[in-house]
Amino acid sequence: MTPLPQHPLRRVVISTFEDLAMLFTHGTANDGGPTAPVTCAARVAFAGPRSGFVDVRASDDVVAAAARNMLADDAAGPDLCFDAIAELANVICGNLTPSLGERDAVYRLAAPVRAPLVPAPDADACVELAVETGRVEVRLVFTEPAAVRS
Amino acid sequence: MPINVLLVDDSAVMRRMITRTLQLSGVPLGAVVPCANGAEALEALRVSRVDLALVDINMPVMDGEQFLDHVRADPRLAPLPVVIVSTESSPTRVQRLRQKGALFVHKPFTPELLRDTIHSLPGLAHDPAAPTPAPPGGDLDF
Repeated sequence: MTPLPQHPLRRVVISTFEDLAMLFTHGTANDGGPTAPVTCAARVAFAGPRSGFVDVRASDDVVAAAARNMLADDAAGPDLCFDAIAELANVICGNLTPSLGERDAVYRLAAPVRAPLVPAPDADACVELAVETGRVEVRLVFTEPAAVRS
Repeated sequence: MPINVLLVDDSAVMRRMITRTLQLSGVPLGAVVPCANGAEALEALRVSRVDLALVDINMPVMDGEQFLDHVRADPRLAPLPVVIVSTESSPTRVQRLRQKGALFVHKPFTPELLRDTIHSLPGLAHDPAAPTPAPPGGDLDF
């Protein structure tokens, strides 16, 4: 695992959950925090000087809280709940790309899609955080050549 | 006078968040025309009269910059104020969008930033005599 993107990923994940979903992180999921299973996962692929994807995987209560806060709706259905996690993945990916080198590079982001609930192997960076009473895992994976289709 | 807004984003959640932000931030909101990509938005402009377009960049079918190019190339549509609302971080691309006459709001954004950006547009300036309701919950970031 490449250590370089670790800190930018962590910073971007925390700020995105706080600013977009008004959800606050408290430590890592490995610190004896919540171990709830992941029930929703979204992937955003990026292409530019480097190509790859960002997976955001979240447990049920994080998904529900994100949808509730982002939509001001206590009864968001499954599609909107996924859309909330997908938008978090989109914003995380968009704000992460300047940290990947060549700050002025233009990256193209693909539309978010559902990601496997099983974590992607060989992540180049990974952040696991306790959020509210649940947990979030975010993985950055570089793929060469470009992962985004034109 | 109410502002009719063309809202172009492939995320249904983001469309709802922006609409709610507009409702809470004192913008005199008229109709909101939601579209999921630039091609849908161009079609909507054929039948809807809007005063402002809020547009994401990364979208399927037709992205926000392509939409902006189509708008600026059409003499009938060219004067439409366009605000790009995106995670785009490349200074070069942001500058290019500005040169095409668009304003830029970076995601995540605050309601105040979106409101102030809209009010900075010619013809959409805030009427100081109109009441501006404070957003419940104070300083919310979106």
